[in-house]
Amino acid sequence: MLSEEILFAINDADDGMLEAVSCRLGYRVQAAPARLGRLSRRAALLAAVIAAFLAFSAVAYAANLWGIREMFNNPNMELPEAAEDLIVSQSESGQGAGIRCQVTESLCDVNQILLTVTVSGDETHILVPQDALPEDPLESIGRDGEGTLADHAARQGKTLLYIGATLALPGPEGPEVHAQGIQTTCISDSEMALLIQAERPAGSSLEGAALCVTTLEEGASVPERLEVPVALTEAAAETELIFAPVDPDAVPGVRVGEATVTISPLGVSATWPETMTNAEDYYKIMKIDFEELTDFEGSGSVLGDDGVYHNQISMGQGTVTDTLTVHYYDWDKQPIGDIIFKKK
Amino acid sequence: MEDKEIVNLYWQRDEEAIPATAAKYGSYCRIIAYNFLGSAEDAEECVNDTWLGAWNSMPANRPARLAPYLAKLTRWLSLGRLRDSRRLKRGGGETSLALEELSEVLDSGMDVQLQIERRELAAAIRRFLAGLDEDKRQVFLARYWFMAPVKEIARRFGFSESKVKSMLSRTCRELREKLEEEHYVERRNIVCHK
Repeated sequence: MLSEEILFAINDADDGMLEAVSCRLGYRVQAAPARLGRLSRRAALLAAVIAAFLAFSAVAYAANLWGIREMFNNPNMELPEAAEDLIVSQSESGQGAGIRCQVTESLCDVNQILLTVTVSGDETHILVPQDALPEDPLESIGRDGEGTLADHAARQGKTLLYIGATLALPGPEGPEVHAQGIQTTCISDSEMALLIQAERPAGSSLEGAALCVTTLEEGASVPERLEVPVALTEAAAETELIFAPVDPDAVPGVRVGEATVTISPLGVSATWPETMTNAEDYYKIMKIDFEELTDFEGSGSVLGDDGVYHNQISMGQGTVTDTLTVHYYDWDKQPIGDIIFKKK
Repeated sequence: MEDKEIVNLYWQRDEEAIPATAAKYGSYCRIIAYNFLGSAEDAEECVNDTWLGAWNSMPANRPARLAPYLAKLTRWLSLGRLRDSRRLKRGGGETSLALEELSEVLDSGMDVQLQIERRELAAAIRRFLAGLDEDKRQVFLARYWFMAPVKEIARRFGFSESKVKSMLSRTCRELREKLEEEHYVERRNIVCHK
């Protein structure tokens, strides 16, 4: 019947239309912090600075110019001063997959690993972040000029080379890659700096960590990989605290467990289990924030192997006292309840 | 985590892509699946299938917008689940009601040309939607794409329920006329419920 056919046929509606409707319905997910926007402006500034520097010198950039201090770019927070003192210089390097890479700096605490690496290509390629598209404007990667990345490559007679990177940590069954984000700065056509910010599972070892840089030439379908072992040092001391909920059922649809809170120079991380007690109410929960902590990297609820959701935040900034108050909001950003945790 | 970072994880065949997607889009996809299926358990299963679909389709796809990409996967899987279990009509959430509304106008006296490619029908509907004014288009998609209940649409859009129903009915009639104009439907008889 036509009505059924139409339900299927409209599935491929225009993305923009769907996003507009989902926003109006309140279905749209909370937008993540606009890190890329901020990165682009900063990247443009940094690119201009380095271009001026290179114009006056035949000497290539100093590798450590693109270290953690320079690359860390969070719209909500600066890199804490206490954390800056714990940055470790790295010297590992590797060559392959059409690139050379130089690991420059790292900073590890119990929850997070920050790692910077500089990647250099040959004269036939233009290095772009792996998430770039050929039709993206050149300025989207912080470079001056008109047209798209594809236009820029065509003008130079070069090929786009997409660069990505992950950091793997040793796990019980081999290397494991955990949630991580990448910020990139395109220094020139053939040079790119990357900051990898990786989550670190509780109790994980840093020994045996490896950086994997992937390259994918425009038009190719199989990426190439370059692995570089990295010796990481746990530089940041941390304190672990346990907080118990005063009323685990204070928010409709969910029962929370004890929160594990760790404090390091990078900030405050917290995780606590959430058991769904009523699906309809649980799915009304849209976002959370803290009374005592601000500007955290992001929070999320992840379904664990144990079948329980685990809410977690990282790099929260603020002072942890004996009480932590978590505000829960619905899709209309209206408060639906608070969970108050008390330090045990 | 930014969408592009999540897509990167898929392209790197990094299994963390799935929890990262679930953390950011789990609620969004669940509500879509729930609207179709009317069961939290079925919706959860469908959303898990969505993550699998995302894993299997990236690469080769590199969606610039992850939200609609996942929403389409969820919706498609929800519809498929209903169709396969022959529950499409007796549905599942809002689906049976929405189908009744559509069929009141679209199915009476009409049939789809069997040889029509669904893609052509989709293209015709896209053209139709592009030509609608924004409120009518959004109400139509809210109802028949997202399967949002009429009451919810009325509240969210600030319209009365009767206005929403009237807009939907009128838009369905316009769609029928458009499809007739473009010869995507054949009239079995002259008298239609217009």
